[in-house]
Amino acid sequence: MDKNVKKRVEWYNDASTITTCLIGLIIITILLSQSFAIKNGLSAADILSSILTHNSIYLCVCLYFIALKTKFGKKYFDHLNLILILFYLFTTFTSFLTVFQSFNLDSLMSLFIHVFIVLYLVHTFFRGTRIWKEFKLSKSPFNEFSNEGYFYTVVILGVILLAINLIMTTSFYGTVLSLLDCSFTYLFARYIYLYWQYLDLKKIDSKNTGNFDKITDTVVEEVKETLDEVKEAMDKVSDKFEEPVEKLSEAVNKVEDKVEDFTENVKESVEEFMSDMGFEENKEKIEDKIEEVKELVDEKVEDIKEVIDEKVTDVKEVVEEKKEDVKEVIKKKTTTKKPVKKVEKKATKNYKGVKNTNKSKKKVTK
Amino acid sequence: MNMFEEIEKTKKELPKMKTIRDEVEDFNFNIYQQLSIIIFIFCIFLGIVFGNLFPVCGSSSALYGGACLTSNFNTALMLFIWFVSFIICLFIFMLGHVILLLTDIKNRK
Repeated sequence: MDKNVKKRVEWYNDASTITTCLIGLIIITILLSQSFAIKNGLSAADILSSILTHNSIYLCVCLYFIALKTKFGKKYFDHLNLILILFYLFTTFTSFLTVFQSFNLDSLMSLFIHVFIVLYLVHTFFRGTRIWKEFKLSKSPFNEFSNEGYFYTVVILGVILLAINLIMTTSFYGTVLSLLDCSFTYLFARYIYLYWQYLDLKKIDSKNTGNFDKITDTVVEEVKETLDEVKEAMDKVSDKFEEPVEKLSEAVNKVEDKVEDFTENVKESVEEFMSDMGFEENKEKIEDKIEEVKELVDEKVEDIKEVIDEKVTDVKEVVEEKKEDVKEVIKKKTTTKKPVKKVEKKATKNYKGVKNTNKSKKKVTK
Repeated sequence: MNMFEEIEKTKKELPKMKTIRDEVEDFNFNIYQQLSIIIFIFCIFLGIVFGNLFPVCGSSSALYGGACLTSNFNTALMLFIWFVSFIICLFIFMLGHVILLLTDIKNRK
């Protein structure tokens, strides 16, 4: 693709244009609302409270889009989305409380719009993030809505809210601010729509768990279908070319037969050549010689074996004789004992003159 | 789409809940620090209640002439209460941190 050729994208399909328009619109809205407040003679405290009460959402979104233009914002995109969603959740909560304070169509419609925008934000910006997997948002019932469904719902609710505000307002300032508020809602919804579209192009489905199993299944199915189609086409083509294929196979068989005949002829000619040269006779002589040599070698080997065996037996006999001699010597040394001299004990007489016969005498120690 | 492609190339993933939980569990808070956190949480709810109790007129009515026909949630009052409670609780938290440091020094001696 040439770099010079730029793809024409409409302004409402370009995310950077939408963000720039939103930043500009928010600045204009805040400035106009404050200028109207000053013109009506409100005090500084009232102006500040009006900024915080009515324009807090504009301030937050403006800061969000300005941060997106910087590297820091692009790096922490998911973190900024989380903060934005929390802030919109808080705004939804305050609009819910406003319904109880002043129950009218205006407060109800603003509540519905905020609720839809929060759902739209959650089901768009959390896709493909850890929060989607950890909180299992793929099982959410609001996943059934499509991107177009969410967008056009917000558009319709915005139109209804604009109509209500235009009916309710009694001044020029209210009309201008209502129109600006409606434009903000549409552009913000369009930004979310474009991000969902980008995720679809990146093939991150809202119903899967953040992986690409479904995409791989669809790809496999599509490949199978295309393969079946190709097979059918090939069958059709093969039917057309059946006859020439058969002719080719016949030709191939003929060639094979000829090759076999040729090889047989070659073998016969070689055998004839060999017989002419007398290789077979010499071959027999060589084989006889080889056999004679083998016999001689075997005889020699046997003679050598016999000699070795004789030597081994002689050595064994000598070793055994030596063993027996050693055993005899050991036996002699162990069995021969010195004769013990028998000491005849003389019979002793006691003081009475009676002979003691080998009785133990107790020695009396003084 | 170019803006989103640039964002996709450079963006950082959100941290895991487990890592956040582990980091928070490692902290040991003093009694004063715990008290400051409890007071701040209470003041958050208090701010929401006060914002609802003291409503403000809707932008389309009082600001640009006419009587106050609609009333809105007083976000400004709520944010004011949150800000003041944050300052007070931060002061108490830092006091508790100083006490913690002093007790550590005393224990080491």
